[in-house]
Amino acid sequence: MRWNAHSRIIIAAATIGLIFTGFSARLIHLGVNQHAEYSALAASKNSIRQTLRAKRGLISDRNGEILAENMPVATAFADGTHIENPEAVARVAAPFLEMDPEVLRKKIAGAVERQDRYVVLRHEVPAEFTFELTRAMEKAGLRGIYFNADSVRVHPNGSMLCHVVGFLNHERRGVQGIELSMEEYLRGQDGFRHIERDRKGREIVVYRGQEREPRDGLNVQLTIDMGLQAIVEEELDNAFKELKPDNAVAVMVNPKTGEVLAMATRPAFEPDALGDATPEQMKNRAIIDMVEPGSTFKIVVAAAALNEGIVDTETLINCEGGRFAYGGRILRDHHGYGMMTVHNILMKSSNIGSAKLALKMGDETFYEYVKRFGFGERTGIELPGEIAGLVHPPARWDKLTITRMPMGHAVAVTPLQIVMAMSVIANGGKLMAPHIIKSLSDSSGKVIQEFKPTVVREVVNPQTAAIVSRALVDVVSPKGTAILAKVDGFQVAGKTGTAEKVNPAGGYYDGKYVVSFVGYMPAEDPAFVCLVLVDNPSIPSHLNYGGLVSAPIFSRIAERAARYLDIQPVMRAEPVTEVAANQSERSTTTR
Amino acid sequence: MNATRRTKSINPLQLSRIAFYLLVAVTAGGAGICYVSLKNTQHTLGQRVRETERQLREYRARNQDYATRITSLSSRMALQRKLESGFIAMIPVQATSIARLTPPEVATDDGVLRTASTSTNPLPRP
Repeated sequence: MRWNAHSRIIIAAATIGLIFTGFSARLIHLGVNQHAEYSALAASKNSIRQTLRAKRGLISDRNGEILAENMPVATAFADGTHIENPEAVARVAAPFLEMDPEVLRKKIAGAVERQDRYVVLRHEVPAEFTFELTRAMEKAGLRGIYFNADSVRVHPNGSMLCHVVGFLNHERRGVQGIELSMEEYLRGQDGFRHIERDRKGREIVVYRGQEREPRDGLNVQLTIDMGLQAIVEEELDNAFKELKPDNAVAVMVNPKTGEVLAMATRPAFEPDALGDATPEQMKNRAIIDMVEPGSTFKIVVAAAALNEGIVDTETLINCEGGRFAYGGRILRDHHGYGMMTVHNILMKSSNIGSAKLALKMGDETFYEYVKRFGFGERTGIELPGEIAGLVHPPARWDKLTITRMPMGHAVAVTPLQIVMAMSVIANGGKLMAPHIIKSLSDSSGKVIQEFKPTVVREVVNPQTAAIVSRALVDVVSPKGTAILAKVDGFQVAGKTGTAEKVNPAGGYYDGKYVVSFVGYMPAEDPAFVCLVLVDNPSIPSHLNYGGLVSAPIFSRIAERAARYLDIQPVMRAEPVTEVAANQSERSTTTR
Repeated sequence: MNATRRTKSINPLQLSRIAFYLLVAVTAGGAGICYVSLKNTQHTLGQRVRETERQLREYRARNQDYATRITSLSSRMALQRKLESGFIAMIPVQATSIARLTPPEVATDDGVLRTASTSTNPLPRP
């Protein structure tokens, strides 16, 4: 067969056509059939979803003093696929990462060997070092070490207010205090950006894909006043060192608004050194610990009896000379009292008088007032872990409960509940909802939400509150049980409490007491209500009274608080000699 | 004769067609160059955007870092430490330097009435 020119051209063209058809078929196969597979492969090599971190909101006090903020740091990691010379990279990076060069080299070499794209070299690298290291790497013509921007929470005031502010876990989530209860608002929302990188690992900006801006967390402003908090903590620290109790709590509240102005617990912990803290130190005992309140609870029975009209200011109650047999047991007073008014029962802190008021009232009415004062239910404060306390309904009372509960036994309450109950008297009979969050604002400072004072209920009428208040003023007088709570120039009202410490195994500890004082000042127009509760102070038993241990701490706090708040004194101060004489007389009579 | 025949076989230059193809080539080439130039410009701008964003991030981080340090160094605890070490001192404000909207009551007989003061607390501690 002879090939002529025409047939040769046809064969050549057909061959070329076939070759290109083959190429085209392959291209179509790659581009259509295997599109997903190769796209994924390309994306895995060059495309990443970059997380844009949202900034956690700040926590500040009512005056804008910062209590918790963020310090920028970064997590340094090595991309083994981008590193050609692990030794050179380790040599440049080691000083900035504050690591031993040999250790770093081994880590990087391992990443290179495994072609691992994410090997963490160090967490919490200060931001400044990351910038310097990036420049040094660029200068040396190296690549392969990158950073994930992050932040750590820092607390400029150290352990101050640690129980309220709380702390974060390693995943940057709140696990205690405001950090936990306001996690949803503080955290914000991370954004993201899909990016592609070139062969050198640099982002190709023109190929930026879908993007969502991060939404920073809201800033939380507390009702706490750090000026008052510092006073409270300093005095509590002094008392803790001096008295060596198991623990101590102080809470200060504005009775008119329910705003918590200060809240402190000892022992405390350092939130920036959590490894050194024990679980016991981390408890905010103002809301998660319950105690028998002792005589501070007498305000409930007195106010209830007056409010119900069961007694009036003139009604005399027989206090049986200090021994009252009821339910087969003897109830005692520290002194033998005869006929006393409600005013004097409170002033002298008579157990028998209080019990008789409750008996006159009856189980159900008394129980109703206990509940109305806020005991046995959570206050609803914006702090995690609050407990309700323990108030049994009358159906579960034994024969003695009606005589024991009025003096603060057979009932368990939180320190915050005691403060709020006293706030009822200080606030003309109205129970306010305690709150510790003042407002939420965005990063530009715009207020998103403001928390207003809330009246829970009117527990007693204003006249009743005024009568009880007058009696409480006399408690802090030479005639009462808490002269040491006195503050020069001011009328102070308050009530002492001394209760045997409850043994969790049953019964009471022998010779261990929980002593407290809760009061407000100035009595005629209270600026604050403050509780000082000391659990098992290490002092002789005959001195272990609320009036002797907690009242002086209250006095010092109130005195400094008055100066801080610039409250004008309205009274003439009692001469020193008179106070001292009264004190020596009282030291063996108060409970 | 040969010369005459050669002259006859030479095609005349079709300038208009050449011009047309040149124009097409120049247009296509120009468009290509423009495209490449635009891509390069886009890439360069992208690099600048990336660099500017990096600088912005760096400044923000530095700013945050300094703000945190300032807060820590001027915090209540830090000032308290400085006060205790004598690095700073507090000077009492003179009464004459205080302007009050509601002047305090003046002590009458024994001069005891005063603003609450911890230094003059007469109460003994148990």
